[in-house]
Amino acid sequence: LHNVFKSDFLFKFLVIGNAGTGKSCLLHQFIEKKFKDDSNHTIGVEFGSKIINVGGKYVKLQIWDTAGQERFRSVTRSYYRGAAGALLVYDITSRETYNALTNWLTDARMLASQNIVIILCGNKKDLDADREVTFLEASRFAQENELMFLETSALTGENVEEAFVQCARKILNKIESGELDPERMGSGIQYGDAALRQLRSPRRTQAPNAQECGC
Amino acid sequence: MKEDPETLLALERAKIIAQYDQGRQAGVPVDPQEDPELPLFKVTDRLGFLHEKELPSLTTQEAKHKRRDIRRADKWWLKMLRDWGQYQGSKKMHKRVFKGIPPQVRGRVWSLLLDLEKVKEENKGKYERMKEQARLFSRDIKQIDLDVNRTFRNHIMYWDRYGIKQQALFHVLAAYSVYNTEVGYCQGMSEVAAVLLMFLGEEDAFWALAQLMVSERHAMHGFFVPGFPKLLRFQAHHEQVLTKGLPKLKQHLDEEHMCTGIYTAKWFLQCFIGRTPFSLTLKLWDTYILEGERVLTAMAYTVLKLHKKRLLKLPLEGLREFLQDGLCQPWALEDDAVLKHLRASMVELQRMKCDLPPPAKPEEFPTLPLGLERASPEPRPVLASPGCEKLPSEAGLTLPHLPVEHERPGPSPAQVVPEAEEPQNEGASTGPTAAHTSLGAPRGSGSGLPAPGPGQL
Repeated sequence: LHNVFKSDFLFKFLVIGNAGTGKSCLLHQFIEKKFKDDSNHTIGVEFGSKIINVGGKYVKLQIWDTAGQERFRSVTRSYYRGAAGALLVYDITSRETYNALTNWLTDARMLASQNIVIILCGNKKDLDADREVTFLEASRFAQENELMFLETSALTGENVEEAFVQCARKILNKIESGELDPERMGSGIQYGDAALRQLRSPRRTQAPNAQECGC
Repeated sequence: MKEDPETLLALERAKIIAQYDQGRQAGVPVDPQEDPELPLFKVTDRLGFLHEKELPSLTTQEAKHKRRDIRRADKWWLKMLRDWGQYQGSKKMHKRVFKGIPPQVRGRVWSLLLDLEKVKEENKGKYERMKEQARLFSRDIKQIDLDVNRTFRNHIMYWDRYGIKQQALFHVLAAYSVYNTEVGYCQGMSEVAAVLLMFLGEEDAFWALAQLMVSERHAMHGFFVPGFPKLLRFQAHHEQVLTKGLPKLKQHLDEEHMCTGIYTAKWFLQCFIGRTPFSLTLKLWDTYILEGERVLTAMAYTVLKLHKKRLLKLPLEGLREFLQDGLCQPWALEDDAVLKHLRASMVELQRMKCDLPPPAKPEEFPTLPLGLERASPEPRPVLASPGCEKLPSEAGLTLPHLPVEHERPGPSPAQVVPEAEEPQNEGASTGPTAAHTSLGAPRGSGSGLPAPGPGQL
């Protein structure tokens, strides 16, 4: 039994995209495993967190959910800094929300970090009859812009957990390959409690001499 | 087929408006996702909220409160309402508002405190005309529609998609979006208007919103205008208040990286809607409508002061959870006691000389006239049933070649020459400057202040 308060890493995540694409509902579905049918619109920023298991590692996601209306960008932008991952959300039944993706993307890459790992989420997959953006078109866009891509449904829960987990997994891979350095300022990654314990405790049990030699 | 963005915008606007015009009785199809089933809900509580589980019957405490409200309405308020002139501004009235206005008379009292009769008298027919203007020119219809669909959906008044109250909310916001073009529609306003509509009729709610935006003591204009200058000013001041009044807690919040911006947006923009138990929210609104912005400063301080012990023990996650969700749960203190603390805080802050932030800069006030009416593009459209096929050509004239923007482009774009193939446009393409104006500015505020344009974004 793993203590839920112990995690190996903490990643800061953003959820961004136009108003009404279902950002808060995705977050709610991910955390509560429920669709929020009396959802409010987000004013400013809100955040939630959850610990997930990715390939045996416990990762705490600290997820910042943002208001979608253009006017709030001046406020929400200041929370981008140091984000390690992001869900970039559009609504498959609204081309307008898809057309806005480039703007959101530029903002995220510019303000969060060059290395931010972004997964594109075509939400409201359950409303296929009203679809305005095809899977193919969006996946091409994703490829061109080096994004991961999934179509999700905050209503049914389809691919919601996957979106967060895939994004987290990619970040972990990058850490393992050395491409990302958690120690670097503004990486959006911190060692969690468990990892800190592992780092510290062996030293404590080691003989004082061994510590002194610094190897 | 070359549909210019303006035409598309007008088409979309017409489609949405038509849905609210018809309402669901007339058979507007409702997306099942937007339509929570009523049978799911069992009961409505005293405040109008729907619940999935049977509620416990009134506790003795609640029954007592209910009787007390009735008694106060009878004994105090009906008399005060009769002789309003005598009580207006009096200490007694002030004291009684801070005990919470009974729901039976709340709308009446709000209306008097905001001087709605006078504003309405000065602006006869204006609201109806602004509604018409919204049909033709509002650039915010889509966002308003999105937000009406997710405003108090768990409340009996707003539960029904395209129902009567949703229609009223939609129209109030749409009309306001063209009445005050610098604010237009900003997320957050829908809940404010919805609370007003719980106690006021449609037109009164519109003018109440208009008053709150520009009256001297509320001046919410600065909260919602692009760049949110007033929000930033209040947040900065809140930090100062904490440094002075709750230094230990301030240090703790800083250490946990819980910055003011995260938790105060809804406190200040909406006077605590959705961030305190609703019964308390309403009482805070009573005091806010009476006293104005200093209530926001004092209540922000009071919330943290009352929960200081608990907050000091919480790490960032816990702080987030408590300030975002926990505060909506019933408090240990009763509402009346909270209001007493609020009053004490107001006195305390005044003594510390920080009951209000430094004065506003001109950017927080309207720089353009309110209630400007633009000339209709062509003979008045039939308003009863706006045909989708008719609107595009009309609206296509307004600002023909501006790209669609998410925000209003500001109401003073250079005049654009309409395309040659639309000769019937001439009379209509007049920019706002040339349109006949009629000012409906309610009293107060610095609408005449010379200020920079609103384009901070």
